[in-house]
Amino acid sequence: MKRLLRLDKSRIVITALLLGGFSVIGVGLVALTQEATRERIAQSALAVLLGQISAVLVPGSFDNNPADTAFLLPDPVSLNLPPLKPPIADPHQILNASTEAGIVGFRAMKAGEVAAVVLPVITHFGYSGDIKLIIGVDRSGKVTGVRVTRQNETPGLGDKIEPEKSPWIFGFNDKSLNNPTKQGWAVKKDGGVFDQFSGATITPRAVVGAIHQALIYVHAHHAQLFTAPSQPEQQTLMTPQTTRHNEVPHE
Amino acid sequence: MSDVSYRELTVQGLWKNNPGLVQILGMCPMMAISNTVVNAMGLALATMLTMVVSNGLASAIRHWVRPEVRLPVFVMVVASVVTIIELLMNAYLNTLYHVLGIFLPLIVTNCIVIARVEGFAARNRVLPSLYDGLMMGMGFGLVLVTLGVIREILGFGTLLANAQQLFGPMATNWTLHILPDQAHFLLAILPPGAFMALAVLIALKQGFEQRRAVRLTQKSNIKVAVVASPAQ
Repeated sequence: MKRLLRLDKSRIVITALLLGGFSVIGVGLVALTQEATRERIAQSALAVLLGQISAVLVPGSFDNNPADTAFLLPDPVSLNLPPLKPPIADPHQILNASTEAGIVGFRAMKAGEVAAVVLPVITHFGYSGDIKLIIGVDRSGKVTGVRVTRQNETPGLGDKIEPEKSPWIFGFNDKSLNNPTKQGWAVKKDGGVFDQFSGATITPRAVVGAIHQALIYVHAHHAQLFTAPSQPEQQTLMTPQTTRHNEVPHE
Repeated sequence: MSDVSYRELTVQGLWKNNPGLVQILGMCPMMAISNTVVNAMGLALATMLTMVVSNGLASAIRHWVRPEVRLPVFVMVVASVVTIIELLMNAYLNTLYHVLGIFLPLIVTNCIVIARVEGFAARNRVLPSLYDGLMMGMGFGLVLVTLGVIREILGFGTLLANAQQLFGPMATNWTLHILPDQAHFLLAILPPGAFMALAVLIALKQGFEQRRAVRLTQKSNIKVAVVASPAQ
């Protein structure tokens, strides 16, 4: 008992060094892997981003890489976009961080003119949590495409907003703020022109509302959104960082 | 424990001491990620790889690690291995990485990993430890994939949907449509369906074991009777 209780200093030191040594090795290996995969991860993040953006644009309607044109949206509250958490003071970092957070717009250029803008919009009226959409709108105010980028809706019912499950989301293509009219921007159950799904009205109602909201936003900020950026540094600002996505998926 | 039989390790990991059906460890990822076969395979492979590498490393350093710091060192080994696997998946299986989300880093906290590292690898040579990790991981993975098969067929009516996330572009057309659209049993892909499906699997295994036990006792009773009779 006495022997067990006796504090042997050298033993403690050796044990501590051992623990420290193994930590250094572990951290070193992780750091090496991170360094080795950094470029590849940044590339796949960019590819995912470009894939999402291209999906809501008419193919061939632009001649730039829209993923390089991230810009901070005016009045993000009108699109229900959350502020950066934590807030970032350095102005050079804001665009990067916002791009990672998915709260920036993109411009599709054709012959030096902005042909279409791509915007995120969030609705809080989903059946289970927020639904996040990405919308392309061309210069004339017509929708070029809509995709859901995040949703937790009930599988089999509300998830028909995904193009893999149902062509419903393509029904918004070529619609605009005045086509249909204000009353028409609703699901049929509410007197509008858009189909609801059998057994699920809340989800499509939320999506229709969000798209209408985005079109109102584009109308209100048309001049700003469709003016080509004068400062070329916006193009170089976006260097994708390694992102960690730790959102808990549904169920 | 010095001379372990690989046969015994196989039987233990895959059947007798199956992490999913007998030890019932790692339920959280098992329930959450078993809604489709491809998701289940992704997590199963990641878990299996983690277990093999962690077991191997833990066994390799077992003589240098003092008992006082054994657990912290082992947890660190597991955490490093999982982080490295996570980074690699982010780089090379990006879509699947996003589907698995938080459950990938959470492999660190899967009790089955540290249970095997602490319970087996800490006391055995490297090769048997690697094999134990493989078999235990495979036992866990098989249950996970079986659940995935059941739930995806019942809930989505498909099998191997989104296989390209795991196997690359060549797997785009691997999806099998098994049930017609109207016949989807929604409950199967919701959380309660996961518990029910696992309960059915556990019940099946128990039932099988009991029948075998009954058969074995019947056989041995006959033997006993034969041996006992001349003495009377």
